[in-house]
Amino acid sequence: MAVAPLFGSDGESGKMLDAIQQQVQGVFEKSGPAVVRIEATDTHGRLAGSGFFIDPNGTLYTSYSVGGESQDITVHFRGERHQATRLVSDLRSGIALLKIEAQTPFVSFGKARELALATPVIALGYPMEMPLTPSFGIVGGFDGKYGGRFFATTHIRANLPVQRGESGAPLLNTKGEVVGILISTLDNGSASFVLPIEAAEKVRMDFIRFREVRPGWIGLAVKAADAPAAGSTALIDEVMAGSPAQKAGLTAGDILLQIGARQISVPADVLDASFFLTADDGVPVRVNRAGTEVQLEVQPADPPTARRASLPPAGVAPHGLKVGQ
Amino acid sequence: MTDEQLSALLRLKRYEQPPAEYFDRLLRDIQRRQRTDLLRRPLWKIAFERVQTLFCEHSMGHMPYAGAMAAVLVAGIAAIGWLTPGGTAPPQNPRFIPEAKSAAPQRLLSLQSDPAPPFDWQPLSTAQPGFAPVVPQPRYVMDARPVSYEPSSSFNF
Repeated sequence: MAVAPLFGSDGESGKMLDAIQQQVQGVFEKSGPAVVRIEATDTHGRLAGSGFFIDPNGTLYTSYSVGGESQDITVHFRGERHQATRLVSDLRSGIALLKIEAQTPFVSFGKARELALATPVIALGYPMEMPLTPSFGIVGGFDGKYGGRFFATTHIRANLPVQRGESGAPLLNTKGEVVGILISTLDNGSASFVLPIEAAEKVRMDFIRFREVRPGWIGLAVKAADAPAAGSTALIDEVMAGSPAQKAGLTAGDILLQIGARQISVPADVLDASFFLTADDGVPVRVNRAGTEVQLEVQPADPPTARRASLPPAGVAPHGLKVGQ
Repeated sequence: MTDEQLSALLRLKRYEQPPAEYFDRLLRDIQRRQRTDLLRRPLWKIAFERVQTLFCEHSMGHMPYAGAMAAVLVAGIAAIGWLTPGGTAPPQNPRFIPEAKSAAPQRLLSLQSDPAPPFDWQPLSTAQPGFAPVVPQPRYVMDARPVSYEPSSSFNF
């Protein structure tokens, strides 16, 4: 079977590359002014990363590693250094929300859930001491775990190269809208894990409503069922006494199908869905009970070992949920 | 070697003599070594001793001797001043080098007598990038894995 060459000799390939160049340049010019270099001090000395403004009042996102626990945070904006205050940081998601006192340009929000495999994406960041630099790549996948370990929520795996100093940089779609925040690299730096912007916004909305991050807890233990039921293997293994789940009527043996807006098919999906729970915000839960679908309304509560501060207390997993052993 | 053979050898050695040119060569060798030894001393010391010997040989008094020494000193200073163009350049400090001016870099090495442009002395550390002080770089952050990273696939939530 003949396959059309991607880069032919008829000028089509040149036009395609020109189009990509114009697209990346357009995003760079549109969103670049809102991307900044951030410097701070932590126990190991000075550090530097990237961040981006999300409103005209100087509020910006960066990664937890850059602004989560550091002190003396300064933002380089329009040739000046601005002292930044930390509004909130969340180890569970790996981000920090900062603010400077200035009128700022800002990036508009896109929808990470609308990204598909191989969607073109662009990152704008400050690699090392270099100026603002664009990187172009594609979405490589959506992963809940890496190396046998699980993330607090599903991350975007972007196949674009990143360097040191770009932690906290925005991942943008081809419209220049932010769809995620660069959190970490993969192995050799040729790809990166990106927190979806919806997860970051969950943290920010919690801060706006409660002045703190407020995960929700419903009191279930989940394990993999031997056989799927209605397309899911997320079996409720235990319902904790006095928990919101017990009060709502969930029982051991139910197979979880949906939590809030998120479909459940494997136990790892529960972790992703639980990230978006907020204490006292009711959420619909749909289960398969002995072959019959049942929908219940659950009112999550603060976790028993609630972590109201940025840092988890000793013995509690950083995502704010208790992890069974 | 037997005792008899040894005795015969000693008898022969008794009559042994060096060749005639040996003694000429020996004298030249001694003079050469003396000269070499003499020249190891500083030149000014040799000159000073020769002048001193000259005056002593002519039995001059103390005042002419002092006057002659003063004249030599003045002549030496004048010679140094004549050899140094302008005579205003500060002595070379090994820790400092002049910054090269692209407009007239050759003037720094000029032997002309017209006044040289003022030197812009720069510490070696800033004029030579290789010796520039190391500015501490911040730690550029990019984690190898997300900070939220759980080891278990068994969930209580």
